[in-house]
Amino acid sequence: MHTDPEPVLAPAARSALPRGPQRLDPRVVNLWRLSRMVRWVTFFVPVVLTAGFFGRSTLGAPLTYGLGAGLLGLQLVLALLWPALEHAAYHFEVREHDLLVQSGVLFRRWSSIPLTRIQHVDTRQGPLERLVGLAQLQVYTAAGMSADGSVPGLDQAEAERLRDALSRRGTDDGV
Amino acid sequence: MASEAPWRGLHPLSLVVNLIPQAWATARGLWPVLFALVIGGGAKGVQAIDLALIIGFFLLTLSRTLVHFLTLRYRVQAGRFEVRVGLFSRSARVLDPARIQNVELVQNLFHKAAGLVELRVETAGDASSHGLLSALDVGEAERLRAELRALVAAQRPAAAAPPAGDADPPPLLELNALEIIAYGLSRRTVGTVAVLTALGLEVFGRLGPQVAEKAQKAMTPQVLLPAVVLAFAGSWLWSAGSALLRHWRYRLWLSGGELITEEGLTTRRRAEIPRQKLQIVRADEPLLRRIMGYGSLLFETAALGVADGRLRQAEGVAPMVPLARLGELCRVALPALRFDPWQAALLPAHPRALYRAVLARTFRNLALSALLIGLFPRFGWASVVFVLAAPPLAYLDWRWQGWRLSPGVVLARTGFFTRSTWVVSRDKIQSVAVVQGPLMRHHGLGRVIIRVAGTAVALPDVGIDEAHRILQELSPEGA
Repeated sequence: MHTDPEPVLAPAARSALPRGPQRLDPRVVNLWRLSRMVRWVTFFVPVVLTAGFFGRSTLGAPLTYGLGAGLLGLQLVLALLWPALEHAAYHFEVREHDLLVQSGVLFRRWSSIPLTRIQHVDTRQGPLERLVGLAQLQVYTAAGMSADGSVPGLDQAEAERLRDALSRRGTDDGV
Repeated sequence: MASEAPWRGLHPLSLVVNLIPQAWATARGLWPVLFALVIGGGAKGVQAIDLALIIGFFLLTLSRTLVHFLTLRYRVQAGRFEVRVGLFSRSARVLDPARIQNVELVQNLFHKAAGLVELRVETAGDASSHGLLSALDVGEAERLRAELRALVAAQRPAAAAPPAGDADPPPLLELNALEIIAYGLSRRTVGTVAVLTALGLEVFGRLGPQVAEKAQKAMTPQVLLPAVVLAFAGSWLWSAGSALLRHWRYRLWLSGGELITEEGLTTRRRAEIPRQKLQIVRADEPLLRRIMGYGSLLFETAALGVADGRLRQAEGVAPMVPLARLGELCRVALPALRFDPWQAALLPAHPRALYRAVLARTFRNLALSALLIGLFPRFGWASVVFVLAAPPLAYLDWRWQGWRLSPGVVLARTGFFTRSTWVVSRDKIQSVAVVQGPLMRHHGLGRVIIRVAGTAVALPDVGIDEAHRILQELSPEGA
């Protein structure tokens, strides 16, 4: 991979960024829990209730209710526990020449995006994220926006600082 | 300290011009609801629901158009282009001029009637700017385009002019009609046959129950076998014909740093591919083509696009290259490749990757076999042979996997029946990732995925420590 002998980030931009591996803002755990709960109420509960309504005559009431309650309970437990695991697994680090992102609980991913390859950087805030003052950083390269180019759960000011710093680098985009 | 540039917005007539595109965007998002509306019944209660859905659809379209007009703001500030949009879900984009590939003005019928224009700022591998600056006054759009072009020009060195005047140098590769027909014959045909079979079944189904019953009775092995052979023959003929049309009098040559291909019977096509724009060179060697003594080369760049006002087809194909010349042509296309990938020793996939390959292929073939047995109860059982063949086939695939890192390129090879070799120039790599699923973790494996503009290449599965070493070596920190 092409490297620049000089540091890619300007000293002022570099000094504004945290050094070493960073974790996501802890508030994102409750945000993810909330989103999963919304999905649980708006998707899983209606689906299980509908399936139970139609499946009751085939499987019998006790088995249907048992299965339905089990599935909903499992989803509820996952909605409460999984975000904490995701948060623990997510790390990112802005190094001298690249952005390193580590993520995933079951399916793990370690990604290195050279700073010189960044085409542009977006910050995004959904309604729930704005409610708690968080933002998502999305990094685009010429390869298109990929899952490894996204850092969710950043404090809004931190996300904007990262966006401004990462969109000020060299010109060799490899295209 | 530099003064802040004012934020600018869309033209008020964008409220009219954007209605149709926004309606289309809303329709794409709500297609299941609209589909239900179209096929729904005509009862009174259902009609009321339909009316509510239609009103909801128009309200949503109107509100999206209004929100887009009210919230989209853009400016050029401190040499960078900034756009922000959104009410509930806000987006702010900062674009460095060096990343801009192309700035174009687009006018549809509604734009023309309103005297407006859409300005698209395109970066490689991303079309998300489409529809963003969707309705600007023509003068304002021209001003912004000129400003952006000036910023781009200030950051980029002038492009080398292509050589002109001289006759084309001698070709690196020329194909005769027989070779092109052989290429057509060696293309995959199973998919075409499957589609034809499905169409045939659909036609029989629509001919009425009696005809379908007769047809089912007539489907004896004596009829079915010649029918399958005919289907394959038809598919091959089609494939050979289309290859002749597309690749007639194929020539490939190198001129002034550009790979140039010329081909085609009815439409003569000339593709000019600057070598410095090549992202990946891929060699495909399907078994049948390999037996004929040939392989194919694909020259992949970032995207199709417009360059200097001309439409440029950014991808080239060398359909039939003698196996002995694959390495030579690869090296012509990618000067950073200093060895012959077909002569050099490659590193193998991890031994434990074989377990995963066997499991994955067995499950896949099992699912296919179950589907075939369900669809064709009388003959589908024969597909059990696919399940039995899965382990030896997985072994062959695994056995032929290989990879190699050199100072200039990364090389990956996969497959036995449809063997492919990818050669990636290291200075084109956009990002590198290591992925590991639960099964891979159990076996201590990892997979390295290398992304370049427009595509991605996965190396064969290796040990997780080796995968991290490769990630480190390919990342700029480790280089």
